Amino acid sequence: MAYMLEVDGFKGPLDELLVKARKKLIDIFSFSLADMVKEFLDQLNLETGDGMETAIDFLVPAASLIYLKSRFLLPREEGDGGEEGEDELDPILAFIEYQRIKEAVDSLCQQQVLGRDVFCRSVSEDDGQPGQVYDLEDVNIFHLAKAFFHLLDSLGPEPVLELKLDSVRVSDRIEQITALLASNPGLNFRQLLPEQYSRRHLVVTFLALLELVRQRLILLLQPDPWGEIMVFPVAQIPEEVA
Amino acid sequence: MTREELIPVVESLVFSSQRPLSLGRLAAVLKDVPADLLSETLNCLRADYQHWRRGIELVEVAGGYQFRTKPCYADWVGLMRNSKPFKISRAALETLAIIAYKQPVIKAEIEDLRGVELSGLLHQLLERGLVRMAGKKPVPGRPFMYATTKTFLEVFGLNDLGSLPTLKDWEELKAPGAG
Repeated sequence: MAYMLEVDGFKGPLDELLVKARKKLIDIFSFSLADMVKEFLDQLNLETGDGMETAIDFLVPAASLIYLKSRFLLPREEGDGGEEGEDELDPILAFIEYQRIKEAVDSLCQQQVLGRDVFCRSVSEDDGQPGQVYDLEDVNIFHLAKAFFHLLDSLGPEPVLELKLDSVRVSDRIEQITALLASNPGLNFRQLLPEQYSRRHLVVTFLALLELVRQRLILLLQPDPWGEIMVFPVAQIPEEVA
Repeated sequence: MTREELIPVVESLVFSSQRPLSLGRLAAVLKDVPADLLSETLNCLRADYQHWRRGIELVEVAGGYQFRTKPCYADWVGLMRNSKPFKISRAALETLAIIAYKQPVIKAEIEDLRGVELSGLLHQLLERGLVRMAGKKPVPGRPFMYATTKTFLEVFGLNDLGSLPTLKDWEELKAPGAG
């Protein structure tokens, strides 16, 4: 409850008086602020602490009112624009505004709230229909954006094809194969490959072998179609082949 | 059609409408019925339902007419319904109240008034269809403006924004800032 005031020519909550005073709807000089404070103190029982809540609500508007009046009583300095004075009061106005919101919230709560105090027929809930059905009138940009982003989310992360550049080169493979053959009299194609190899590795190895054949450094043998490819250094051609 | 004949017709139309049925919509359906007879019929219907033997009543909400359960039977209806009762936090309600009274309003203005950041509150209100985006404000950054929806009126049983409680006080408060 706001502190109710009853002075000459005004009856109502204090913050309303402040608003009126500021709008110059009421003559702030027409009544005594001292009387106002006195009346307030009389109502407040300091011993029992009754009305403390009201006292808190009273203090800020009352102080603002006194300040406002004092400002009007003092001669205005040159260059002291009216705007500045208005600005000083704004925090107080904001405070009152916030009080008003609180009152508004209370009165909103007292309304017959649909789904709490009163109910109407509802198709989407009682028929067990899945999903939310929007009235076309009520659909706005928010729903549209929401639907769009929901759709985007449902797509999941974009599939990414990661291509790792295999650094294996034909010339490197040639060297490796020659080195391997130097210590082995004969190898099959599979033995030239490491345990884990990529398709590129496979192709490069094959190309390296072809290159070595072209240079007449090795000999390739395939005993039967689709069979294992055998690799021999030229220096060590098995006798039966020779 | 006489008024007596019209009452059950209007009753069936209001009953079968999913959302509050506006007078304009009603008039569009009942083309030949004069407007004053229509509102007279609605008043009769409303009076009929005020009878203590009725559990529902005809209310004027969000610019239309709708049948709703009487508040005194809320507990019973609540027992039957599986869905959770309408709940809204104090913070959300404050935000909603600011939007209702000051619309169209931008986020920064709401935060100024409440003195705290809104975080998820706006989204929550948008999600529940109580608040809508009402275009962008032509100021730097072009922030979104927010306003209340028809659903807001329906939920809080208001016929229009003018029937918001203590709006007069608010207007009075707004004036010095503008002047």
